Amino acid sequence: MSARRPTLFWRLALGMALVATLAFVASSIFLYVRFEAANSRFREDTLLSFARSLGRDLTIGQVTLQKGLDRLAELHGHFAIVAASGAVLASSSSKDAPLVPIDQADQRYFILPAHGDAPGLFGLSIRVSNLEPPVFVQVAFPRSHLVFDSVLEEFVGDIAWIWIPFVLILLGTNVAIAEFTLRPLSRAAREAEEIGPASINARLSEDDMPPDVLAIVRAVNRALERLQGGYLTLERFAANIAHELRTPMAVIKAELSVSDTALARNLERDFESMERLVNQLIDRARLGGLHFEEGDRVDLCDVANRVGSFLAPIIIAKQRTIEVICPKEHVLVYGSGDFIFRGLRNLVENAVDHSPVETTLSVVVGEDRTITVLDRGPGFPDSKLDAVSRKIDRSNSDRSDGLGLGLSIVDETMAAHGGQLILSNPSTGGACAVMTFPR
Amino acid sequence: MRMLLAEDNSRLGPLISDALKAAGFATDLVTTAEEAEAAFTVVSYDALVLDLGLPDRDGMSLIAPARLHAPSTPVLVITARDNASSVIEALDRGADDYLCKPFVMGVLIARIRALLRRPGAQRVSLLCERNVELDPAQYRVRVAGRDVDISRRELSALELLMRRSYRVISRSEFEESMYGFGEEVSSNAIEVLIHRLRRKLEVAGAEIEIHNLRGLGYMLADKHP
Repeated sequence: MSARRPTLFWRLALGMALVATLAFVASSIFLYVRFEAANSRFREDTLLSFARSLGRDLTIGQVTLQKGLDRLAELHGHFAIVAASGAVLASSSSKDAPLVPIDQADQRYFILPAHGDAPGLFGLSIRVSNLEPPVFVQVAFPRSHLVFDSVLEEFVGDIAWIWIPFVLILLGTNVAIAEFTLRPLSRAAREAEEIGPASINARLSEDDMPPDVLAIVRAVNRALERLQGGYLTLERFAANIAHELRTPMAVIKAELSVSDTALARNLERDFESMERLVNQLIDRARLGGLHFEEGDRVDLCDVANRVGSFLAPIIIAKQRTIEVICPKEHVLVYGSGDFIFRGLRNLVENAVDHSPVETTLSVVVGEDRTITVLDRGPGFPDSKLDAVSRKIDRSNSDRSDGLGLGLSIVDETMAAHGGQLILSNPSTGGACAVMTFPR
Repeated sequence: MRMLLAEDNSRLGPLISDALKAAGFATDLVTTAEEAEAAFTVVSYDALVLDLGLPDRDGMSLIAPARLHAPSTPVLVITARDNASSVIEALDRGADDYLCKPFVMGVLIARIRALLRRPGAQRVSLLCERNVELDPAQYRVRVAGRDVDISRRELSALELLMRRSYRVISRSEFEESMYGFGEEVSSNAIEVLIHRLRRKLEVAGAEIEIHNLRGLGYMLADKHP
């Protein structure tokens, strides 16, 4: 199991999503830090102004001081006015204790942790020095105070709610642009996906390709051209072997036919199997060049009839007979007529070699796009029945009867057509080979 | 009967030539396309047998000039190329028949005889196969030298079979060649006809037999012992 590699598009999309998230996080952190700084300054300024005004109020009189204290209470603030000796002169709490122990500093900010019901406090202690003896005014507000936070929080919240959709829309747009830009690539990929041994004429389309992608597409097309050239060379090579081998064979055959001796007849018979082997080798070499174009349609009935007529003289000479049974309608499949012909010819030749004299071979074309070859022979050896074991078995198969080579030709012909060869030995006897074509 | 044989192989050429001579054809053997062309422009041959793989030129290029020179002279091509495109090209260019190497000599001679029997090349009036003779002009069939009583329809069926012996003739080919347009052919007319013909040949002791190949048609071939 290997993990699927992400496509270029997914890499781009992932990268852009990462950048968007990073931008969002960075701006959030920046805003938060700025907010915290502004918030602290705002708190400090508020505390300072409250403390100073209380200090001023102390010098003016009781009434003014009370007003200031009332305002403080409204905002849930705490206070303590502490003499230099440490004695508490006035306090918002019932306990007579300063909010923090006093020291000689002019002003000092402090934080009181929350304990029990009492919330955590953020406060300021200042020395009011224009009074003699000096007093200390301590003011504190709960740390999570509405007044401080709400304004800024609202501001930050608004920014965030504009910022998130903005980032998302930007991301969406980028992804759409990436998808649009990569479209020629995915089209080329789809086209390349459909190129197989059966369509070696096909090329990736170069229209509407951006110049940088066009370079790759052209290179791939040139590679395909070279491959096609290779295929065609192979086909010519097979034709050449055919020529080179067949002419000397024709000489031997012609010489044998002149002789009247029994030896010549025996040699002629032996020669037949050699001839068949040569034909099979040529068929096998040709398979490399098996290709058909989209729309190449073959009538299986026509192929069965041609194979039957082609082999009938040989079959009759060998004292067997053949029948071809076709449905009323044509049975059309996509493929190469020549190669299906050779595949079927190999199956029928097999059947002739393995069936007893005075028996009939049947070639049956099925409406379900099949061609079945039936004989009355001993059936296929077990090692040949299964397509997989056939392939494994091929290396050390007994080729004296050409069965292995013949079946491999049919197997590969069928594979190139997206179909398969199914062999079985029916319980009624004989052998049954079915070429099955896809819809 | 005079034949031209163009075959460059130094062993195969004389072998074929001797076999043709033994079969009663006067045969001129040439080994190049040049010689072949020179020969058929001067001599009027009854049939041409051309190998495609000649040393100076492809035998394929000889077919058209041969056709032009003697339109009714049958041309048989012998080739080691058995791929469909070569065969189609040869036939398209005007060859009448082709034979793939290696071939049985008897088949080559039978094919040449069949070509000579074709209408248009009406040189052979008597059809012979083993001990069966058919004279189309006199509507007469003889087996082992004795006349066989045979109907006109049976005779034309046998003629078709003998003109193309050792090859499968489909039922529709029988219908086309034996019945006129619009003529009603009952579904088993051919079968009944062939069945009668088979019986007559068998009774007369013919050495050939009409083989019935279900789904394919009929073929005239040697009788199995």
